[in-house]
Amino acid sequence: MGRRKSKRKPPPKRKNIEPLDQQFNCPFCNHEKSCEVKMDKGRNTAKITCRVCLEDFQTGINFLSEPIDVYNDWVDACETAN
Amino acid sequence: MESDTTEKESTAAELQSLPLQSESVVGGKAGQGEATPPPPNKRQKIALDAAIPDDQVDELKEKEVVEEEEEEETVPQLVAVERAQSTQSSLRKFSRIPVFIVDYHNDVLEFIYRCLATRHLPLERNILVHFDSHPDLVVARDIPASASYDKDIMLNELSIENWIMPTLYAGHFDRVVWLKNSWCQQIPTGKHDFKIGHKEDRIGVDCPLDYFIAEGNYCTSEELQETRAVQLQVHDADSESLDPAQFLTAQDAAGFVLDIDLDFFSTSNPFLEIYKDANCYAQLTEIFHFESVEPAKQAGTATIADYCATAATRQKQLDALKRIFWHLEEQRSFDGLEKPDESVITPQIYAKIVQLAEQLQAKYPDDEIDWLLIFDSGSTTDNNGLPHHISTSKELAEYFANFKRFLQRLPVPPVAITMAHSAQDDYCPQDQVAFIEEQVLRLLREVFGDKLHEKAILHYMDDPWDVMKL
Repeated sequence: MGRRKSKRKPPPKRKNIEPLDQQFNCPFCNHEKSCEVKMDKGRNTAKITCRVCLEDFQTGINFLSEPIDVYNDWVDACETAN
Repeated sequence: MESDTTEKESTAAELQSLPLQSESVVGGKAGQGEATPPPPNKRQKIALDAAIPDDQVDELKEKEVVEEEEEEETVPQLVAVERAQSTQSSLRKFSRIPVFIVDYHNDVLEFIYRCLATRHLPLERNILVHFDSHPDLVVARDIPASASYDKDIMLNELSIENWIMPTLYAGHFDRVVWLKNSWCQQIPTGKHDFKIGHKEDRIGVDCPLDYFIAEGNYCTSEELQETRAVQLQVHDADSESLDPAQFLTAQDAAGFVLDIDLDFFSTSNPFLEIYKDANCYAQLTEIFHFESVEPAKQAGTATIADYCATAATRQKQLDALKRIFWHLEEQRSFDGLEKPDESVITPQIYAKIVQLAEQLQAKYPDDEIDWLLIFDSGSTTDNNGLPHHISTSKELAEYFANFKRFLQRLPVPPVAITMAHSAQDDYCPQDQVAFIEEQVLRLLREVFGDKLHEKAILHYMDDPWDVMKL
């Protein structure tokens, strides 16, 4: 049978899950926090663009993906290419 | 909490100090023996990549601007996929097996979701090997099925008893192996293949086990929509014949999560303590009893109609009991309570409820009697109830040996290990949990050696963590 959280104690304080980064340093022009991510979870795609040098990168995502995952995919692609 | 990936950003900074290759995807000019060139601007990149004379670049640049404007509002075409399939096929690998330790078991989802997002785990069809004294397979009644795709709701609303089912519904796991000691009886051992889906946006299963029927989670296959096939295996971990090769193969290497609730080794039923002086739990066990389908199933005479009838009866019983206990909480007496339908709550059962109330009031001040808690407590009694087994030192040693044997027999190591104390709400005895954790970590280290990350992430201590750094 399903166990239940005991209610003798007050409900636990929910930990604040810190939001992950939303803006990132550009791997090309190295401007800080110049890259923004647009996520289209409906189509499972995302695009990251540097607003300074206009470099961009597109990748597939899933509904759990965060902007930082798009950035990491970009950096990995750069590493692989180099 | 997961920390910023400053490492990735410094990697990015390093990248643009590398000599750039002329044919590189990321562009740039090669320059042997030259000082590191600055990163190319867009114009240079076009010229470089296309190897087109500069005087033709302007024309190309205009063309690109037009193309970019056309693309501005549209996302490039990748195949739109149904449900939650990733379009990325390349999985990442941890350098070593991470261990993520929480207190409340549902908190392991925070880590599992990040592994799924970063492709350290495939998005679907993973296997969860779940050491626990409890199945944790309840469906949350107040959370819609569709919320299984909403990470924020999942992380904030789920609880210790219902955190696994949404992951099955969303397809992240298609197999759960519940490994228990033989004194846990909530679900019979064996393989249980069933469908999970939704009925009116509420998760349901077509598995006619008491465990699901008692909670109102059973539906017929025809009633369920958007179904997935899942397999639940239940094994006694204190059996020497337990062989993980029964459910794990080399093909599971990329999608195997080992999940360990420390109350697997020693567990209490915290509800036994509630209003103990009035013998509350024993009386609730009688009040909340329902006729199991198991005898008819074992006799081979049970039909789907029987399952539905049992499920409907159970639901009516719980609704009626809830009405009574809610009234008692509000009114502090039976005055004004409409008598329940006698086919749902018989006069004998009603008399037991009255007797329980009298005994509680004799032993405890009225303002200390929490009828909602008592209802919750009764809901756990069920036909097989919550286990209560506080292990002796000798028993613990035996369970550790069984656990080690299991680990040694694994055909593949797990991708990740999640662990739960379950001590804050008294499931794993608080005076044993530290010792049990220490022993389990020691055993993991003994078996996996250097394949195991040297330091566990202690979520309950707010250790910072980042799946990309593991």
